[in-house]
Amino acid sequence: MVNNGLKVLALMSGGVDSSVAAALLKELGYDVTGVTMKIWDGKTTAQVSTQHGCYGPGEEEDIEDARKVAQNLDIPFHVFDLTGEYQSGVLDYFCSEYLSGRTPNPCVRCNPGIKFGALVDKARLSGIEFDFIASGHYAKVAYDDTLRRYVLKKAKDLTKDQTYFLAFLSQQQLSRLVLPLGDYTKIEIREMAKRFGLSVASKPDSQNFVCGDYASVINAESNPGPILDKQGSLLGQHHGLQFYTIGQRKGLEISAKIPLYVSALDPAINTVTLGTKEDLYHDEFIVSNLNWIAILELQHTMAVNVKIRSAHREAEAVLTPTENGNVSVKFKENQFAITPGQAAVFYQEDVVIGGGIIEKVVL
Amino acid sequence: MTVSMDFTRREFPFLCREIDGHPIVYLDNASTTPKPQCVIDAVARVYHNTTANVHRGVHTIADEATTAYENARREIASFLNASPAEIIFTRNATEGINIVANGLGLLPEDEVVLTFAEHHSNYLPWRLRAKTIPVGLAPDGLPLYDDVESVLSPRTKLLTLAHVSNTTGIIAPVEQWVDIGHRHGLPVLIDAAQSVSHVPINVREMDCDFLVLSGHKLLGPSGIGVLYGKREQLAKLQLYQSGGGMVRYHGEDRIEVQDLPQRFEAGTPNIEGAIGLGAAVAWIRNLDMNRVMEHSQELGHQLIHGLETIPGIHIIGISAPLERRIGLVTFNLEVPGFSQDALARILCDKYQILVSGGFHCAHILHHRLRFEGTLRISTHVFTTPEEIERVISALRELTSVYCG
Repeated sequence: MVNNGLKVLALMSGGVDSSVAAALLKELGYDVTGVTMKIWDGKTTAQVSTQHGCYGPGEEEDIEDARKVAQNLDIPFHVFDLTGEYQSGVLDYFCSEYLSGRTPNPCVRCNPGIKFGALVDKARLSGIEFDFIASGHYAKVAYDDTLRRYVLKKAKDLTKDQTYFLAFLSQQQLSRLVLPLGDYTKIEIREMAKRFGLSVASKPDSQNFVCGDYASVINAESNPGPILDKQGSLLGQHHGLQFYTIGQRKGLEISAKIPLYVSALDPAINTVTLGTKEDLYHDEFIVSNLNWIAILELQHTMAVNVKIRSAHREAEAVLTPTENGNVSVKFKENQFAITPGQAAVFYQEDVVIGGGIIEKVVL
Repeated sequence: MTVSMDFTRREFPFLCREIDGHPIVYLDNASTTPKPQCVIDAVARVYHNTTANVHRGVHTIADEATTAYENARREIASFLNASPAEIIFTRNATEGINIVANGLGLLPEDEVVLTFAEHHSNYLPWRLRAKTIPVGLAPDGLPLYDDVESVLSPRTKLLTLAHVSNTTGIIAPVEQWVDIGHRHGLPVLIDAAQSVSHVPINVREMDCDFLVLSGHKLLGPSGIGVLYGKREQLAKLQLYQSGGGMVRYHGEDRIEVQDLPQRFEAGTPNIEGAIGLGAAVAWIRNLDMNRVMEHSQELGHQLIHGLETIPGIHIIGISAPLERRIGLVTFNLEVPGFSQDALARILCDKYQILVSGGFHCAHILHHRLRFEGTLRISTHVFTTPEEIERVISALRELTSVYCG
């Protein structure tokens, strides 16, 4: 491979994807340095299982896996301790959101704040030279000459597409991002892992934040309160708002004639409200903390497809700017369980227009 | 080339500009620089979203404008490894130097040590107030930096030096000058106008007392610059401009002047300029400054290697070690019947290559070298090796066509 005059910092988690990404970068002629981060505090328990989450005791093994791959590829490798930054940047956010009756997505904070934020800063300060940062995310980034902006696009493998989790990266971050996996399917990646002779070629995927009970990460007392129906009748007791999410049906410990779902969480009065499935369908909600990617700002209404959960199938909607830079989203068809705290990401075809955090449903 | 910065080009809309249907080759960055889209967006945003005065308003938008302005100051402070109170927004590097020259209260018999190669902006403010004592030049135009100690006297009040000369393109031994200055109890001012976007600068490490830069040479707007000064040095300076914004209290009985940095920012500043400069600094900080310097050095080497074989060429500072060069080369090219200005015009009209021609505000240097002007090629992050090849071929062609 001919040196292409570029140096890249490859984020390596120890998984197949980031390992193949690092190998591909080397093949493309980049001068590669592998880095990984240590974020687990060593105390918080999550069930140890064969499947690793991002945060938990499996970390040590993952770091070793990444180190072995770096050795395979004959590239320098560094581990940076980001436990403190992760605690204040991601975990505190995670906890405070749950305690406020919202359902957070930690990736929304982790990607811009930690992986492509604090980790990159630390690497730079440590003296590692690099022009770009690369990861094994399934997505594409490119400069659009007409828009004069860096755009984030869906990966070729739509079943693995991770643009939902990258929608909060800034133009500055996107401008230095290289995503080698965007044009390949997962099957092709696994084959490449074998071809490169990587030790992690058959390692199972890990896509969870924590494996096991997420509530173990939340450091808070149990604060029980009433579970009510929409008329205000008492149905039972809840263990604390952090154990519930909008649209949840299981684990409510109440008996009812018809299926009931969590329709609201009110931290002011520490109440969980249940409703019927129909009560959970809405079409309009407000989004705050907007991060615009394909456009500079939203000045007029815009027709987009919106995803309100990582597993949600995107649906047609119209965006309207409201005051304070917020956005009102109106779906063409009602959607189930629009959940405050979750990320809403806006697409036009395969292009990410931007994203924000769901504030509240407009009733 | 071992370092590629080609990926930065796409963010500069100006680089697509054409003359007579041909794309330009912009090699006049020492004069001024194009701006990345994010700087254009930041300035435009002030006009369509955040138009308000700073440090004075009491409404939401004034708060936003003040925050954006102060964030720009913080960004620049971080870039230089200074603290925000040590960063004063000025109109340009020239104004920064004038603030210090004025502030020191120099007397006509006081002495300021500099080099013959200094830009007029780092020569005249001192010369019009005190005696300038220039360090000599070697026959090819390089200052004899090592002679600095020999020109110090009991009347010396300050040493000043360009970090990178706008004519030689050589990185000066600033650490040595700062060291000598401090050993003699003298403050040192560094003119970083040419260096700040090519060489990493850490004012704490450099330990300079003052440093100036211009926004327009750092991919930012024109009409904005920065004066950095150590707090204790700035506090000693006499006031420069007075007016609104630099007083805490103005009563009939007394005046209370603001703290640093506001003390030196009288009147409504170049708000959009400062915010645009903040965006430019954020942009360049997103690159690896060591790689930026390597890239500049490699282009400088490519220029020297290509130019030195052209017949009739005299490169200023040719004896300097290559590793002290950035991507800036100034030379006199003998083509009978053509002034250097005229050659620069031909480069533009025939080849759409834009360079500087003339004296580059360094008349004394030119007199000493007996050059009736020179041509200057100056690169930046987005300059490619292909562009260097083009200017070298063009000059070769010019000399063979007109010299025979």
